[in-house]
Amino acid sequence: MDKILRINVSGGEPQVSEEPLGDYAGLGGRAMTSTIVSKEVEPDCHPLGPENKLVIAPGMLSGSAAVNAGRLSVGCKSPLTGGIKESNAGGQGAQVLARLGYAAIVLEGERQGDDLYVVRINKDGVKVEKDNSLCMLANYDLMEKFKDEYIKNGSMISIGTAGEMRLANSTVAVTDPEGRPTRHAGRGGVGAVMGSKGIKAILLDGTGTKNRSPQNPEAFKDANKRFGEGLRRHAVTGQGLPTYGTNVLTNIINESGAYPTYNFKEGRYKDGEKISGEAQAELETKRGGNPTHGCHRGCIMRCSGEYVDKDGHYVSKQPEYETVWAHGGNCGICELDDIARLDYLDDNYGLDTIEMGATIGVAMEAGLLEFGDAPRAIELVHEVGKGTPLGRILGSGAAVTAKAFGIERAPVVKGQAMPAYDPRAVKGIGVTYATSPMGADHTAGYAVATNIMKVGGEVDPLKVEGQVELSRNLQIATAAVDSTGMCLFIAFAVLDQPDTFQALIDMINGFYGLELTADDVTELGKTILKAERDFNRRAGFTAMDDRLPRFFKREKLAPHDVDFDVPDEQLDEVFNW
Amino acid sequence: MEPLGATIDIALPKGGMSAFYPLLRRGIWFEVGLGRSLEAVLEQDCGIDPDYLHQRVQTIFLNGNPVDDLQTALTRSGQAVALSAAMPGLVGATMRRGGYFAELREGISHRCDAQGVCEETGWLLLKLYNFPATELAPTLLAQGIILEAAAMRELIQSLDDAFWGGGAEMAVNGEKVASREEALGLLGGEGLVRLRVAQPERQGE
Repeated sequence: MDKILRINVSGGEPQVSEEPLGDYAGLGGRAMTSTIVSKEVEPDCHPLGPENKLVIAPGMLSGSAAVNAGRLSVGCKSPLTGGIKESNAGGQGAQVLARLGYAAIVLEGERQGDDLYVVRINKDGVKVEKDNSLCMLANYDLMEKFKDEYIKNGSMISIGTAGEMRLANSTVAVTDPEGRPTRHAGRGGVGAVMGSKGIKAILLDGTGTKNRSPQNPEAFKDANKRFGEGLRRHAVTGQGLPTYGTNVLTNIINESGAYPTYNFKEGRYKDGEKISGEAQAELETKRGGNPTHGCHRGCIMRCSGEYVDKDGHYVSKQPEYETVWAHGGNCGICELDDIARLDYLDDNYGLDTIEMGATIGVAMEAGLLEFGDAPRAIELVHEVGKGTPLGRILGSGAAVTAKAFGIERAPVVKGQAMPAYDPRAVKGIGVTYATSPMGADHTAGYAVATNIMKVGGEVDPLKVEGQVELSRNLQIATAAVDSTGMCLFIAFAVLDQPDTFQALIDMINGFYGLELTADDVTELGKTILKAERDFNRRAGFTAMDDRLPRFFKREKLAPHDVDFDVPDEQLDEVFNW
Repeated sequence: MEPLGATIDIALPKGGMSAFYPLLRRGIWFEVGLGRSLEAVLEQDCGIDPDYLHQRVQTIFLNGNPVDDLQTALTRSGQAVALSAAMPGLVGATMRRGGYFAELREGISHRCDAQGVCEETGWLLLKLYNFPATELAPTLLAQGIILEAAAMRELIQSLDDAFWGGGAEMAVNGEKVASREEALGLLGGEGLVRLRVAQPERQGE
């Protein structure tokens, strides 16, 4: 992983060049994407213009034997938020790209005309070929066309019709071990930037490549073993996620009254149990599906699954908690079959499930359809995927849809829809929604072990940190983890088991021959956040962008009758460290 | 609470226990002593092993409010307690009992009830999610659970041919029934019922 591949689409045929890492040496994942974007992209550019770049980067440990290191970061200036964006996905892409030796692919320049291109990368080099037969193909269509090229030893990174139409809600899809385009860099409209460069698919063929070699093989092997054991023995990573998947959260968040329902009008959904992770896993098992499946090879936690219909036929991957919420409780839809169908359509057209579900919720509130109307919701996603005039409005996200229909209640920050936790009930996550450079994002400040890492210094274990301090420290720690290529779900084992956290540090040190400490990891997180915040400042963002919509302060949320009352002055303190 | 209605006895030959998990998630009723700690009620009145409660049950809600202290007193009849294992996600971690991130949800955390205890005994609705449902189900169902008749009716309606033709036996108030319709006819529509599930050869769930 010692080179960067640049594909410049200016001037006729795209030009390919490779260069050494230079100033970007030692970076991976989010650190790589955000550093390149902040250094090379003019912050005031239009996200779909020639000055923007799309950066695709595997994590620092991707392509090695490290378990759960298969996250692929995709960065750019976001068409949805107008700020810097890093969105990451599972799937096979990061592992193969890293084994091929690339620390990043940068798509740049000004597209000429409307031609579409497919990029093929293998151990012998890179080819870019015009292929207009791909025009308006969806992701599963691309899979059928190209699977023989990548399914055995590679991966496909692609955009569906949404990205091709440069919709602000559009993803970059990454294929899973079965070659299906089920994993997505979903947030922020990164697919539109890939579409703006005219690149429809990147086919990676890892045939003949090997795992990346660590600098200190024995130390790395030992740390990787300890890390894997730590994940297996923890109740969440070793049992909860493999058994139920992330949707196990539905009953719990619903019970707590923090489950946004009917476009964030209520905090508890009366039919939550019907779409819970427990019900989903039981149904999948009964139908012959599979509730335990890894999104990439080398995953121990296997929180994904296969959702099948009553006859045992594949419908979609097992919908994640956020998807089940967005298309389910948020829209008053309580049939898992409908939600799985919507999940498939999102994957196929290349749409972020959170943004799409939140947008339909807004459309429901606007009276375009009734809450609970699953058939019409499915029709609307088809409209987005096919690019009808209405579909293009909906495909521009929840904020634009609210404007188009003249309603106030758009649950967004910096133009990006909120995920599945109401910030009035869990105010601490509201602080992160408000202040993250990424827009409303539940993964921007994850449950990373800030206590063990001592982010924010030595904190008295008996002293409770405030919400602002916790959010700050979580955002710093998450930025660092996002750079390793590690799945964020490792957080739970790392959170509770100091020896597992140490194993992670030892693994990085063993691989790179370094002697990093927790302080160094913290410093990396701060550096990334500073670069991202600086980009947004230069793009015109101010403190007023670090706010939740006013209705979260004004409207109380049932059943606990709470509003978001964290003072603006405290929000402005999050990045004062 | 309304007087107890029908008693349903089910004998399962093998497997099939998962059909009853939704009942536990929806909630089952216990008659409990009031004015005592949540810990005492769950261990002594609901029969949950102390080690299991302290180690496996990491997330507890009282009327939807996350509970940090098991010494929290139960003061009123009709309160709902929900139990879960440790959960993923930042918010899952936030909901944990006494967890590091509890401050993030301080606005909904359970606070001590200032009202005094008016009665000696009352009813508690216990909801069991995820692992507590699957792991406590065999014991609780064997002992017998009290639940809403409406929930029992929904369960009976959901039992498929594999149940009725697969060697399971059901009796309502001691009278054997051989079909969904018979069972529903004897069950009654409202109030509470008692359900016992025996599975002498329980394995392979």
